[in-house]
Amino acid sequence: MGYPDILQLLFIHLLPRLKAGLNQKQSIMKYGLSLFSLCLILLGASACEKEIFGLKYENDPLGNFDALWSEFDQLYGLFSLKGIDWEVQRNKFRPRLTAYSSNEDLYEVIVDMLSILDDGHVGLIPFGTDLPTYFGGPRGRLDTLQDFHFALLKANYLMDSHETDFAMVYGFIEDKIGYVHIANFADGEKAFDKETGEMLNYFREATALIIDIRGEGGGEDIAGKTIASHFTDQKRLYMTTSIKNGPEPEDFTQASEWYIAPRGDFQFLNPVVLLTNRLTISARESFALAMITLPQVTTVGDTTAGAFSNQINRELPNGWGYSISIGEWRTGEGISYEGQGIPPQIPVLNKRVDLLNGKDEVLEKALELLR
Amino acid sequence: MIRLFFILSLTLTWSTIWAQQEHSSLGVDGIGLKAGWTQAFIADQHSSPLLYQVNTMNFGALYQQQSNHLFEIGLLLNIGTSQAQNIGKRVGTLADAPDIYGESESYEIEANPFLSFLGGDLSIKMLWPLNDRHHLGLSTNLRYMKSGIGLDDWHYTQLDLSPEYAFAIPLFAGQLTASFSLPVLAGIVRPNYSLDPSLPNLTNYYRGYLRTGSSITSLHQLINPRLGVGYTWSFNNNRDIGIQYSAKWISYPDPRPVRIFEQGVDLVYFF
Repeated sequence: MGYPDILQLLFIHLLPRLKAGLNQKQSIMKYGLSLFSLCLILLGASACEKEIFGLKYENDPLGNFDALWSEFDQLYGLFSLKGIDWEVQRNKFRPRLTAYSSNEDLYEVIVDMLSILDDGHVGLIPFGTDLPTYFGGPRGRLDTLQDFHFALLKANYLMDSHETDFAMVYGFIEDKIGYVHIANFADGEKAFDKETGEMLNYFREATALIIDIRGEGGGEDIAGKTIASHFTDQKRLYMTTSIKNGPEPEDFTQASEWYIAPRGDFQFLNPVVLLTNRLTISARESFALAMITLPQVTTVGDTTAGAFSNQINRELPNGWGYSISIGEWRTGEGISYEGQGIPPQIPVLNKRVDLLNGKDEVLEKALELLR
Repeated sequence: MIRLFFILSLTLTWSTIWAQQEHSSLGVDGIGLKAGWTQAFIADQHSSPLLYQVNTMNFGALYQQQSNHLFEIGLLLNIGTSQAQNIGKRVGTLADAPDIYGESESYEIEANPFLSFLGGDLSIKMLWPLNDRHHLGLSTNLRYMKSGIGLDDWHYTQLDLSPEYAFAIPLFAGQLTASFSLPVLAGIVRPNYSLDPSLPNLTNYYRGYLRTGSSITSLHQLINPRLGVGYTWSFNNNRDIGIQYSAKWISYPDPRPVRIFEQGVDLVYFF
């Protein structure tokens, strides 16, 4: 018995009985029995829950593949930007599975298909198996993070070192030249107003500042917006975001405009060098988008990861988790760096051997520019 | 569950043997404290292909005023577990990229059902007697549910207005009641289509969904029949104890279909 039948019972069978006059004992008894019948039907939900609750997918290899493919089809926001025909991918990869395929086969097919997207915000966590977590984009391709090591930098370059509550480590790197490493962007306006205010207050007398956003991990775009607003003297459009709002390929929201505008007791308007690398991803990258609109900012290092869109978490019928990018993040001028990354104005690549010997070429280039 | 229905069937079967009296009142005058248990099944296709099962403890209070009509205001809070059926707790590992020494930090990602469901139900109702046993009125309900579904935050908020029918009849030393309501107008807050508001001035995800995932709806979309059955014993010292069974079905299609079945039993002690 399906859900419409339950309603039919309710409206056609039960309610007229009430209307018929329930002050008679016999009717009351029938009313009670009808009520009881309804409850038994609802109890029977466990027997036909798939139908009653509208569950679509079986927990088998094909059901799991279909669930994942369909969610990407409806929610992934970068097919058009990346020129990917998702239907073609389905026809290419689904035939590699059967109802009897193993977890390993399913994992391999899904990872092969997701790799086409080359997206740092797309991942797969095969819960309950020994299979590895998959990351897309540069993060998934790098064996090691060979071009940055904060502990070595701190030991070899910083004259002093201070920490904010959770995100920033800062100190002077030379007289009048400050350095701050932002380790995460995982909070909102209030927290980052406080952190940035504290850090900039320390550098009130600095003539220049190096902001280092090399390293791993993203956070909230609003964190970057808040920090960058402490470096601008006027309102500036730096980013637009448009996210999926329906299942069709062209279903996107109108673009939201992101602005930075002066915040805090004072704004730092002296020269700034922003250091980036291939793992500068997500909220770090949207922070970079904000900073490159500022006239006093120069970028040095490597191209960023090229994964701007927010990601959402999903799950498969077998319990595995995965993530999807949901929209288009563009510069204020409408340029998308998705899948490409923001190229630095001055490219400098660190070598592992130099780092191990205590030398950070990227940082030294920044110092050279600021002296 | 079987025990629950045994109690329910017993209560309803008593309808054949009750001692009829001429007058009945739907509620009592006073404040009651509630405690009980709720079970729910949540299938939200917008968040997950899986069916989630919820078990909660309930705590709450209600105030009833019985004059020529019944006025009732009640609050029920739920706290408990929520987990995908047949899957339960899940643990996975995320690892940072190895550093220049080849060392890597790893983190456990855990989907843990323990205390993963929070809910609240605030209701206000007024019912007028049609005759000795039948009552008709209006109720308004604010229902909020928050859990972890689809490896992310999940929530559902509904504020609605419903016509409500209630029936009461004396039985033995107490009174048997039953009620039925169906929201005809509701405001619902759910995650937007992309499950992330992504707004430039977003300071709070829930506020973001209020702006991007709210809608006013009615019976053409929201089907939410609610059934209640209860029995209240009256004691000589003007104290009453009641047992109440409730069942609800929610079906709402936007942005993608969610279906929820809830049922629960609560004990009420009236001062």
